[in-house]
Amino acid sequence: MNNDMDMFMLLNRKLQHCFHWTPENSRKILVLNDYLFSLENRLYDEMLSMKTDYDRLIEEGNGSLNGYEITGSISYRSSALLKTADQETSELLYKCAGFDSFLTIRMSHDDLPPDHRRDSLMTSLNWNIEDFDQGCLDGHYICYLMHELFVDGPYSLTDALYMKPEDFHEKIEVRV
Amino acid sequence: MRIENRYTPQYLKLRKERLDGQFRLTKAKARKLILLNYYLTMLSERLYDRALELCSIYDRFIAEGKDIYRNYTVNGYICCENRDAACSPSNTLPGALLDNTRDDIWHISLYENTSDNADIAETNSRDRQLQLSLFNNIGIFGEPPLNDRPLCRFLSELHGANETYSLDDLVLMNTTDFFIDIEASWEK
Repeated sequence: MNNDMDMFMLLNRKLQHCFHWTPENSRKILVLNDYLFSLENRLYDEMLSMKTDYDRLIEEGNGSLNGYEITGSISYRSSALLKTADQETSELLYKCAGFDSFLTIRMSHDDLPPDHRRDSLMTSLNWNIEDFDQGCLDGHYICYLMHELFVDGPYSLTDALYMKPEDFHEKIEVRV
Repeated sequence: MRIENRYTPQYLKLRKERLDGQFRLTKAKARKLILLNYYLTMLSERLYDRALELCSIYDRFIAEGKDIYRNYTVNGYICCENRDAACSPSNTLPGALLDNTRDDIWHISLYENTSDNADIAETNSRDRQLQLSLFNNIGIFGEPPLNDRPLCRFLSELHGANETYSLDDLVLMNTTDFFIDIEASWEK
């Protein structure tokens, strides 16, 4: 089966998951949203801290680090099966989510532009649009990762109810 | 119009088998292969030294209390990238050879060991990572005049396990076709 067919099947699955914005469900969605937003910021802060360390070493004369590149990303890998997906569907969801390509933050020895954090985490917009355009979410900031996972991505909002924060993983890579 | 790519993995494998079967080792070819092995052995050593240097930087940071560096893994690769091949599409032979060569033919991996764990220390050791004390000489590299020096692990894998470059291809390679790439990673 090719990727288009996989994605079509997962979108169909999403449509069948009829999500109700009950107060309890809204609360769970917001808890996940707030956690993911804090995780994005923590990842950014850790990368920034590494950049400061590398820049200092280069200033001290360590030329071998000159061309360093730091890349950070977040992915979801469930330790146990989601209540909403069997093993095969879980694998397919992971494959089609393409975690390597979304919310990827990059830093190098170059000075960061003034709005680098805002542009990397896409915080110039509140992502309370499309599926998250709900009255019960008014006044809350919805982060880009939620949009990527549940609006543009293959996961359904019903999946979100069963996702555990500890199953989201940050990954930092440094190439020198 | 769709252009068929005849350089499939199966084609390249058969091509390598055919060319290697016909290979005749001349003095000039032997000199070239010995030089290539000598250079790649040196490059492996440099790769290990640079990876170790990066580990020592992280160890120092950890000692300073910077916990974000804990549990690092440092991977080092020798990449094979002929400049002409890199510019060639995969429906040409140089491009196909490059595209069908696995990125991870061989690599080293060093792990955080600030607790001085003996097993990790052994895993991180130069001997274990580079396997220079093992005699990896396979095929023609096990025969004179190529057998008087251990074949470096990278070349052993490039020639043996990898099913793309033939001995004639290796003879045509230059030392400038190889470079090292080091990557540290953390997963939390």
